[in-house]
Amino acid sequence: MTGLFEPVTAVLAIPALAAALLAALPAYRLTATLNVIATFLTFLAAVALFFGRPPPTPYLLVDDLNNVFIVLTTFVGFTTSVFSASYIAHELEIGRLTPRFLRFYHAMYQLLMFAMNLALVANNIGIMWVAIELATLTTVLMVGIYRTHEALEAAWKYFILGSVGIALALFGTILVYMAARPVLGEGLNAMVWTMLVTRAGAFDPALLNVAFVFLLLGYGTKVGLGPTPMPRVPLRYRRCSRGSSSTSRFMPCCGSRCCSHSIPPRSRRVR
Amino acid sequence: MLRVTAEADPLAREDLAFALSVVLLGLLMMVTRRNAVSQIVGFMSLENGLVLAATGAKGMPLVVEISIAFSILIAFIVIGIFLFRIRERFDTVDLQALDQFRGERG
Repeated sequence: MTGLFEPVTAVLAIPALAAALLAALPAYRLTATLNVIATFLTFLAAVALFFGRPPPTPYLLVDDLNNVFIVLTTFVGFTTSVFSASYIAHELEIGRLTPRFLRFYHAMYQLLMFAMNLALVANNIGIMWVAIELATLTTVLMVGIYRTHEALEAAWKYFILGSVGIALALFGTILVYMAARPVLGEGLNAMVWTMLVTRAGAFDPALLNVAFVFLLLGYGTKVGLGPTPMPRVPLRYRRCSRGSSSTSRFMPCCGSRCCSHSIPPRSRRVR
Repeated sequence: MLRVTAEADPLAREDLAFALSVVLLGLLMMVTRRNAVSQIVGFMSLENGLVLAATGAKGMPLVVEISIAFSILIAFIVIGIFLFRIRERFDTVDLQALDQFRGERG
């Protein structure tokens, strides 16, 4: 049981458990409150990371940089959940959402928080990719929750662009693994950030060049930079579920760990 | 691809070249089709290329491979749900219908 109270585990376990719980509970007032409580607890756990950091394992890593991002993401998640709790009752009143969809929405919200936190604390490039893919999928489901023309169109475009983008990133990830394998040996080690960093100089530069192109294009799509136009903000910020869009504007944090640390989400991207 | 992987073992080199071509063919199919189903076929072909590349990389960790396969499975389910919803809402799976608003008109 002590493992659960470690901040890193808590940052991942609270959203995951909350997702299962919120999917099971029907009453929407209760679930909205639980959603706020769960995100707040996650935020507290993230802040606790500042004070005690576990040593890096092959799967999880907390360092100075991603600690800040985790706290930022969970903070935005918390404030958004407060906003969405007040906002969602109105949606029910005017009949745009039914309680069933709301249950789904809350479960997806927590799953998205889980995926984003996992992407940030992952010490393994493969796990990080999976977490970002999971975050994309939950966002798509949340965007399309209204089932209007606009929501479906936005969700579809987001899905196609996002998935193709990170599919290319997976190719880049595999190439990095292939470059690291002769140096670090087969298996888990060749995918672990902390191991990759120590021996990066010995990797085959030509292979890494190709991998870089794919990673930049792939995660760059999710960050919203470069040649692939991501209709993130114009499409979703205004027309779709507001709660989900402001959280997932923070998705760039995940991709940015891989590409660059300084690219902010564009406030308006012209297609 | 063949040029940069000169030091990898021959099977992995060939495999990577094939995988990349499958990925690019999938992309080509996605950009040239207007039908949502064909686009998805292209997308799945792209994912097939990725899995081919992953099998070529010897000794990828199991946990990574399993979770990649799982997330692609979930993606496929999500696509299925959305195809039904789009057909329900637009009465077609022609993506020309999904062109109501774009970034510049926001």
